[in-house]
Amino acid sequence: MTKDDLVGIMEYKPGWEIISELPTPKEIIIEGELTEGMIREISKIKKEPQWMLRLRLKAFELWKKLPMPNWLLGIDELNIEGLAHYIKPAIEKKDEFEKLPKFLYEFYKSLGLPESEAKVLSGLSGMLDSEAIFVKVKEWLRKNRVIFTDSDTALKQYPELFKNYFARVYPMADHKFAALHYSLWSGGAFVYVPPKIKVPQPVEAFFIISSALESQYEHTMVIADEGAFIHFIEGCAAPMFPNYSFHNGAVEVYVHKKAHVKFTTIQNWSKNIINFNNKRAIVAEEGYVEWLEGGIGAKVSYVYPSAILRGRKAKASILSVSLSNGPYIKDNGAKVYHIAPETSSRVISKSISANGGTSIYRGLIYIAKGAENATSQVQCDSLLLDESSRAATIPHNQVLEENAEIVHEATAGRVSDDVLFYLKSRGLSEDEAMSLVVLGFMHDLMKELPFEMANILNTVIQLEFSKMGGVG
Amino acid sequence: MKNNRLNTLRAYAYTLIKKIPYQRIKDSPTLKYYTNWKSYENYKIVRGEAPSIEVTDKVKHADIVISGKKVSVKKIRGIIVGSIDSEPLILPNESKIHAIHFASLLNAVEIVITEEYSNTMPLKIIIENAINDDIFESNHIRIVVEKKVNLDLILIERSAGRQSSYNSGIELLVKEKASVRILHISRLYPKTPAFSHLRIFAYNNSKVEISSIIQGGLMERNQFDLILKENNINANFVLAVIGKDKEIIDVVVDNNVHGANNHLNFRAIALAKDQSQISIRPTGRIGSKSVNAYVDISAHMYNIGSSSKAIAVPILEINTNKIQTAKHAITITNISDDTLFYISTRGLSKSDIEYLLSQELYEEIINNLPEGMKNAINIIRQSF
Repeated sequence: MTKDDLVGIMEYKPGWEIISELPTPKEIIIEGELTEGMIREISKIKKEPQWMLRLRLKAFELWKKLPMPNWLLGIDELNIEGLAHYIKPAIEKKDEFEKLPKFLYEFYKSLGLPESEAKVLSGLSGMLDSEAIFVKVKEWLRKNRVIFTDSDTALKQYPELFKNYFARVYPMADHKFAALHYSLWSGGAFVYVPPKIKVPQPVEAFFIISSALESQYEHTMVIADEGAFIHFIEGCAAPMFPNYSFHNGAVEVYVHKKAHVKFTTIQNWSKNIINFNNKRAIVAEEGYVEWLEGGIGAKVSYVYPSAILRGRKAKASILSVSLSNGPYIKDNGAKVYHIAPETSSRVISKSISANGGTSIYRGLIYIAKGAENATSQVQCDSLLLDESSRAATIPHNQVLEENAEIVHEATAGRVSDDVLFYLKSRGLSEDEAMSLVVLGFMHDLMKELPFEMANILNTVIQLEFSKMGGVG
Repeated sequence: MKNNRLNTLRAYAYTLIKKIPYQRIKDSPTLKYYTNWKSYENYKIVRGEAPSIEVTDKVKHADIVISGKKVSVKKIRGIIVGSIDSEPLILPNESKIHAIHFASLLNAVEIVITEEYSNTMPLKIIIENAINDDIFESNHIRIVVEKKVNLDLILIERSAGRQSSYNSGIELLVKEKASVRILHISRLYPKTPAFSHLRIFAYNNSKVEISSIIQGGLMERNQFDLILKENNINANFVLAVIGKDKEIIDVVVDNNVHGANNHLNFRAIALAKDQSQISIRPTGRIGSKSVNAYVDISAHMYNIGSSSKAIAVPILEINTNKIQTAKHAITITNISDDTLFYISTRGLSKSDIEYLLSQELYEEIINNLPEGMKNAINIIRQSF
């Protein structure tokens, strides 16, 4: 992928404020004031079982009753009633990129997805607006009975399995937008890994919002049965619209005994997407969940990957790196509930604020009574690149167990003059040196990604900072 | 506060009580209400009269005692005691408990420390609730440390009565080039809820050192605001909190740094025993116009009770990159196995360790104090 390809998927280019929406043909659009009839219609279009309709309607009632959170910043323009809630593209689901409409194929190509799919992935699912339009499953997954498909298909083809796990770890009553999610959910990816199967290459789900004033409510579920392993990568992008759009997705991860799930998100929404992403994992005995969160895009982003460690010796690792470049808000964090003995967690959060950006870490470590010898380590680092940028850390640490330990530390600072001086003495300009420092700051995330993807992310970050005259 | 002004303030505060909530913090659902506000609901608001300030040599154990409906003051050169005669710097509309504080004020006293008192003996002020009735017993005190004054201040909040709910608001103004060392001791009756708010304003080239010890109450909420308003201010705050039985102690510390070249260091140590709950919530806030600020916040909590809870919420809010350092660190831990083993080889039990730990807390505080202030702490130390 060239630098020009990447510029094509990003909104920033001097003098270039808005690129056109994707010319997606749309078969069905449901928009306007939310009603029970609307929910019933979505369920009917999707030919869902009765239990799912009941769940949607229950969630809709909750949406109406629950209060609006009073702490969300930067969402003044969000008017749910003014959005399209369900958009079915007039595009048949395919299993080869070449079979997709040309504009879409070109867009995926500019994101480097066909190349990644061919080289490093064992499966790829693509979602456009509210429906999946691409699912490719490689032979290895089929042979090993790994289920990888979109969530709507999973509901039809594996009804019992789907019902057993759906909405179990992320309850609809959690908050107002959780209820909204469950009343309107559509699309997303579904993965089930049978016992002892270790998937050698990652699977990826990629989400695109094609137009302004749309909402996307995908629901992704990853289930790793006993002793299994999978690396799931989630990516998202949207062109720059003349107006905002809204993303309110959810991810539920079930890690069974001795299983291991690594879940990576590279969030590169355009800078007019309001992004809520609710991520929860429940981890059984000796299970391990890793959340890796790279938040680069979006106008406002609220993301707190969570883990409920309910089995003895369950582990969680949450690493988030966010970049708030411009007048945008990144409210990220992590939550870990230790409810079993000998559980452990590690949270690392790194944020960069530049050009008036705001980065907030908001986290919770909860150690319940009985979670003996639980340990948790939290580290938050914030880098402020200029005077107008802001950073805040708001961690909550609650220990109810006598034999448990939490260590938390945070720092906020600027790029040190010594470091800049050293790099400049090696022939780099100040801006180049700054870009290098930023990339070094994000290295923890980069090193966890497959090489091809790390390379793309690297270039995306360089481009972000090329506006400042740095590498690019 | 003059009588008319005080009455107006009380009446205004009274109208606010039903209108505003106990907490106005906007945060995600992760934020819990660590103060049990319901425990304050059983107390009545009794409107006081004008403060009765009596200058007498019969004041016991202190230089100024604010107790019940009376303020007793020793006649000391360089200390001026009177009614507050301007608007308060802690406001009644900050929260419901603040409105209650002002509506139920018994005394509103201003103490001015002039240069004449500088570099002399520690000034000892006792604020106590002494009324045996189910009421809020509120006192509002403003202490003004004039320019260039060096002051050692012992501030004791304690219970003499066993029924009223202790409630205090203390404003401390540290003027230019002044230097204040404060030993703050809060030792309130553990069966009634208490609320205490100490707000400190520090001005150019001043220095503030606070050593605070809080022993628990049924529900004790302590708020400290440290506001470094101008430039070249040095602030150092060491806090020790001990909870036992079923005590709940919620300590909120709001450190605000404005101006240039300000240095703020906050360190807390806490010991949650038995079934107690201690929450320590320090914030370090650096304003957008602050330059070269240094803020270091740390808390070390021992959670050693059979059903005790330790909660730490250290918040940093940085609004500029022209900072020197901003950091926080917390640990919540138990007594390590190595320590237990070592102690047991010396023939000591776990309860002995608890005792030693509590003594260690006092040592942390004592180390910061001049000789003249150490005695005050030894009095309460023996009781633990």
